Amino acid sequence: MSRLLKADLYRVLKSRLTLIALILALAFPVLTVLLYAGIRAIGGLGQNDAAGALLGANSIIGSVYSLSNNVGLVIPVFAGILVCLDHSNGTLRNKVIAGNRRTEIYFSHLIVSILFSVALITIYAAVSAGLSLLFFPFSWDSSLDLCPEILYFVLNGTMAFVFIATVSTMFAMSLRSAAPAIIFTIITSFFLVAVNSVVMMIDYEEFKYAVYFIPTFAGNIFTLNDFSILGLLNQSADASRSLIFAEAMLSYLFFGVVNTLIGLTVFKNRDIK
Amino acid sequence: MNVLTTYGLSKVYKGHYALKNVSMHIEEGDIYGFVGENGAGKTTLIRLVTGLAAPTSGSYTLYGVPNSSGEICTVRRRTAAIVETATMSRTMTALENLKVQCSITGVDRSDEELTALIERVGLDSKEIRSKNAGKFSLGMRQRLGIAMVMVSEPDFIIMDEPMNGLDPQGFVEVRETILSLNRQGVTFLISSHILSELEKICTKVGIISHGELLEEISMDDLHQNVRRRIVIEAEDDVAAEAALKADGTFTEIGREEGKLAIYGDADLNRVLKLFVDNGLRIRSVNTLEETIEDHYIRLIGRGYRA
Repeated sequence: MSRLLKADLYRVLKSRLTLIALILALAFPVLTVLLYAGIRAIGGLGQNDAAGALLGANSIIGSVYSLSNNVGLVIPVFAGILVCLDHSNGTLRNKVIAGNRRTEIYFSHLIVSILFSVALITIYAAVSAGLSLLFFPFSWDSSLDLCPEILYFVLNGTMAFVFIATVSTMFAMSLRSAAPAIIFTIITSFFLVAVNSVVMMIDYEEFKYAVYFIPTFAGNIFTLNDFSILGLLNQSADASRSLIFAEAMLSYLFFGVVNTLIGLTVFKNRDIK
Repeated sequence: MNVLTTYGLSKVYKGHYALKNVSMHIEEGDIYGFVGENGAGKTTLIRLVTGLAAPTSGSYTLYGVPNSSGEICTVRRRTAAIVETATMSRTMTALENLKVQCSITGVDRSDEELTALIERVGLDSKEIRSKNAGKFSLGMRQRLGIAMVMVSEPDFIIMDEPMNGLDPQGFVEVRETILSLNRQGVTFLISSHILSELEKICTKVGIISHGELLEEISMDDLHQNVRRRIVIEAEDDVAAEAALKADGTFTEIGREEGKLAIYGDADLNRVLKLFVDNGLRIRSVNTLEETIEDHYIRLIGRGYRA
């Protein structure tokens, strides 16, 4: 499979789409941080007003890993197009004709999608973190011990995008067309975010087992507790971070495997255009 | 050694047979021409044997390995194919596409080797080298497709309409490339509707119509059993036709481009004597052999060309 992976990576690196996605991943945090810094400079978000008090580098970084933010949308769009280009160019045919197994072809695409998603979100997060620390203190609340939280948060957020890459690949490889694959992936992202929000609004203690069924739920628990604007308002959660983290990882793994099996089964049994 | 053998291969799309019970075989060293009208099932068969689609029923073996075997992917590495059109990444240059093809097929080639291959298929100008394949003409893409097929040095090459988009010079180059590779032992399956081109290179042809293989015949057999016809341009063709019919010997008389055509291996001397005896004047006379195109058209039931 390594030769297929090499071919797919080469194709993605050579694609103009990758460059555009990279520019967007760099431009979005620059614009976001400069916007917040500008508003604060003109006195719109001071430490003494409610919203301003919550605005620290931590809250900006905290928003990075949301599936419904700007890069959260860019990733499924570009990952979907890059996978589907193999179908629309017909280059997928060359792989099958050359005797590559469909399972290998699928996994090569999946790995490239994951690498693409993780690279993009990491660049976005790193630029967001670096720039926001230039303009804001890490947090106005000095009592927070944020190091473990950051680790959990980054790992959980990255896993959310790995999970979305499995969704994106599943739709791209089974629908074979970029537009529907992108639409269905974004619908899935938004559905998960919306369900999370509804569950959290009702009473997340009642729905704590949702972590097993909604892969991105654990991310919201972290976000909504002590790592974001809302989190600073809600520091009551004292659930074991490592337990929730482990459960979240299992949930991502389980649903990621399910997506992959569905996508692979459809792809293996379909004629190639 | 049998390279490809199909056993009652069928493919149904939406209740319609695109391919029906096709059994054919290609032996090592063959250049097998696959002939049929548009939609006859040529591409469907190629898609089945290249693994792009699964047969509805029937099976095939590639180098003796059945399609149901897990080993079929391994043996596919000995084959290469262009199906419908040459497929490549349109945002890459010819060289970059060849590099990807090397990775896909698991071969190592230096840039110099790949550049030599690009030159061999006639894509050697500096301008072409820096252009993305998306800006190539159909003929240039077809040439690049042929280079991509050749990159892994396969034993069996399948080409679906390889002459599409090529200019006459391209026809000659592709034909010479095919013959040259065949001399080196490469087996070919070529589908084309340009029958005159196939006739120049094929060792065997399969004629397919409406999804069914009507005939599989070697070119040697075709030439040995060829039907000849006499085409006569007479001054008074009505009287000439009447005289021929009255003679009773010539049972198949028709018209080709306004001239009288006598089919069925008619004896030219007898025809000429008949004309002399009846005082009929002849403007021109030709004895023609049936071409693969004539054979094909006769076989699918449309008679000779008008």
